[in-house]
Amino acid sequence: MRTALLTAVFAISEAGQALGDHLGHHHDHDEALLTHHWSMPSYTHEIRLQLAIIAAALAAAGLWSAVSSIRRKKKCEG
Amino acid sequence: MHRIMVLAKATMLENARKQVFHVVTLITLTIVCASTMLSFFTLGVQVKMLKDLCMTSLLFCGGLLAVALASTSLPNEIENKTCYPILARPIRRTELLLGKYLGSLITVYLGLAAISIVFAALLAAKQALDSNLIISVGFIFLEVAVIAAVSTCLSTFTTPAIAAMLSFIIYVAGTIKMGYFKPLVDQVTNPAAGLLARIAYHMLPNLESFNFKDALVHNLNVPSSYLVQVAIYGVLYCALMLTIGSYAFSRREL
Repeated sequence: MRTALLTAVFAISEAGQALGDHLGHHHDHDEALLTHHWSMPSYTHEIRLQLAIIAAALAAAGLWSAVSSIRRKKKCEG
Repeated sequence: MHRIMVLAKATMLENARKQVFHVVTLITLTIVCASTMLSFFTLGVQVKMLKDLCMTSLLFCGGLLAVALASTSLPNEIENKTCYPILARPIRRTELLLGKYLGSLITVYLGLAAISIVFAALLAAKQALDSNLIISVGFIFLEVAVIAAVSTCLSTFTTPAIAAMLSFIIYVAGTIKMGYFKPLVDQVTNPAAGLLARIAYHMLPNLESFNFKDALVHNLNVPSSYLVQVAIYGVLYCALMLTIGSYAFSRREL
């Protein structure tokens, strides 16, 4: 009985150690992968596209504002 | 500019007395301080957890305060009819809008600055303070400015409750835009529905691009050209939202 218990405890501790080692390696691998792949090409593309849309919208708003102010001036002069 | 700053100062003093500002800031400060109790991890993991938790708290606090303060500031002024004596003076509606926006933003920044100082002190105590902290926190401030601009824009043509709710939805949708909406938009096969989905998709702010938490947590370098692009994007998005808000407010009957 005692031998069986000791064997079981030994087996569990060995399995735990093996699992810990495995998880440690896995974590290091994930970290390395993340460090290697940390770039944002999709974000860059998205941001450039949205920047173009926003710039166009702001330019249109500026143009609209300029045209309406000229119209107002002309109306006042008239 | 002077008139905008006077309005911003008055708005800031008004917002700083609001209960929501004190409660949210205190809760976040408590979370940040409590995150030092994560002592059951090894030192490296503990610092990473501390950075992750504090950055998430900072972002959530900023977003919540920006929505709560910016979406109620202008409509309350209209509801209480206190905007009439202001607009009777030589102050344009655009200036009132900008003053309200800046005042709300400065209040949120005061709360975030207090939390950031505590966060930096905790990192300094663990000898983990690096330059990525300034970048990450700086871009959280910019993200908060974008959320506040969206809230201010929405508050010009809706009630405070609807503006706050819509702003919060946009805040969440903008945060998960790249991860969840992009695959969904790409899957739409109907051309008309696809076009509508794309328009809605491009109108949403890409708030995930302001998130440099990973760079801080894993000590990674971010290319400076990318940082500049994101900063320009944030500033221009704020400008667009305030332009739309200013146009809507100038045409609104008070």
